[in-house]
Amino acid sequence: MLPDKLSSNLHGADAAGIDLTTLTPGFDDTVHDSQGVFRALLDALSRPGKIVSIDAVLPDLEQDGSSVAAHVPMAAFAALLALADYSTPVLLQHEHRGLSDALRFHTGAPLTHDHAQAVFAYLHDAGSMPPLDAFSLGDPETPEDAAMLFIRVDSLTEGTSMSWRGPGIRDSHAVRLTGVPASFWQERALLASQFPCGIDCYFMHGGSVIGLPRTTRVEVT
Amino acid sequence: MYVAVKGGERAIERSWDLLAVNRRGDDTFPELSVDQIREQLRLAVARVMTEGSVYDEELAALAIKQAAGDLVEAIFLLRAYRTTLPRFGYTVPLDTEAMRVERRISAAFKDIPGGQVLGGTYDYTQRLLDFSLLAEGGSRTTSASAASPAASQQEAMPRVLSLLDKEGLIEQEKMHADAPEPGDLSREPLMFPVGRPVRLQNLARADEGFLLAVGYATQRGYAHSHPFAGEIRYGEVAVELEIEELGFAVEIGDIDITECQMINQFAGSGEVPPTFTQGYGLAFGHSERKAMAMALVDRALRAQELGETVSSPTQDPEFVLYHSDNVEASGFVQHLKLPHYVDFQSELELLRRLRAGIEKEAQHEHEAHEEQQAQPEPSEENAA
Repeated sequence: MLPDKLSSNLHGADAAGIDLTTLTPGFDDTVHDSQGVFRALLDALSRPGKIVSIDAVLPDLEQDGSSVAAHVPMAAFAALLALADYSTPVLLQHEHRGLSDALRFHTGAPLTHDHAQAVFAYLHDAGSMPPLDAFSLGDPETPEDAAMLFIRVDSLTEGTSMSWRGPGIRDSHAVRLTGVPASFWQERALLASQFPCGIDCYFMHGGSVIGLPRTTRVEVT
Repeated sequence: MYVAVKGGERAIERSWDLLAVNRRGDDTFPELSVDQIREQLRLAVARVMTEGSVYDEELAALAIKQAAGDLVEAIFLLRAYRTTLPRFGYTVPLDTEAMRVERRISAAFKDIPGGQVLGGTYDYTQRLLDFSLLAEGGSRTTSASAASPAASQQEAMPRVLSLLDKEGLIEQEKMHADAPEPGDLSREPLMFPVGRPVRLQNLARADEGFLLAVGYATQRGYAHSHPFAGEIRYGEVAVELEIEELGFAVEIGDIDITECQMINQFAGSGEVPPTFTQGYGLAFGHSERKAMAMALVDRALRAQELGETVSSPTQDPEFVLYHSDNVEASGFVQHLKLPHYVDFQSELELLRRLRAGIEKEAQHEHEAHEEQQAQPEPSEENAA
């Protein structure tokens, strides 16, 4: 059902223009690496606030010196490689040729500018991200249709101090993040009433990730 | 009594070993190869591909071997494998009119453009066991020329239904530019009300036996169905995929399919004069029974959209579509083999309590009755 709907919103459709000489390599072992990354992402979302490492899977990327490694946290690139495919439109907040080429080549995922259509979104700069409800929140019957956001942050251990509560957390969990604006937390709190609809997020820095499912209640302390 | 459902891993592993032994059978006989299944059990392969929703003869043959010939189990195996496959794109719609036909018949018209092509069919066999097949290598092999008709000499074979269409006597599905993309049951759950594209997808994956029975029921009166086999064709069609980098469609392979178009009467309504309507069936490989049954059921399920009276389960999409999938049906029926010790214990307890209650009541009544009898009947004199 996707192709026709999407084609009007596709960009980077000049796929013939993918430059194979500068293409950032993907997983060495697609199946097992994808499984490893999926497991790590699942773990992060099941234990909100816990810092989970995806270092093991793409160790070469950091040394690769490619433009993608310089631009995108390795965890975000690995997550997109593992999760995105032909049927999941991906939104990139900023155009980045190396990243879009790599995604299109390795995953076949269509790129979109339409926030509502994005299944995954990579947000390079949380400070200038669009309002949360611009993304799909899913429907009460299909809450799994909600978008999943990968948000780059400058630190997972410093910055705004918060207390997270909810499923997957015993009592509460102290979390610190740098670079996520206050408006994000306000918008997110407003979405809570729409459960089971809502948005699941990952905060990523380097090879590490913190998961924030829609069920977690966040209190800025 | 509570028996926990845990452990048993070793028993399960031993069961797998036994299964392998049973599957192999007597090893004094040579082992069946996947190629042999693919080539010599091709109708079983076609059914497994159709209901497994994967066109791959080798994998279907492997599934049949692994399932020891249990086709529903083989379909389950192929469906499970299918979920692991990445998706590269969607092909353009098949052009079945351009099929390289091996068999093509119409029961509605005798003389049709392109002619009737009997092809290989069991239809006119006498259903006598052929004991020459018992002897190894005893089967008759026909000459190559009889086996493969010269496809290149084939004249164009327009659809039989287009003859009726020229006179405007049959309704035709018209392509709408703004029609929504068809849904995909392998990715989204069945939701009602359900449009014809999704109904057809469901029926294409549906159990052949179930469709056959429901289709038969429509003929016997459980739907107002008076069908003619407008056309049944079997042969090879090209599969084309639009390649984004190229900007046009290229042929990526050929598949064998069976297509059936049934012609049904339609009484007409206030707006539409009486006309013929269609039921449609399509299946992988040579699967005529399946394609025909599918076409019958498709037509029956169109009752509501055509404004006909819905009087039977065969016309009820919820009844038909929810029960047509043999992987789901088999799973739900066979899950009854799994331990239900606690469920059953609670029912047993309930039943015992109910019976004890009833017995107690009966006892009370009995005692009360006996007491009554023990007392002397008040005599008429006393009453007076």
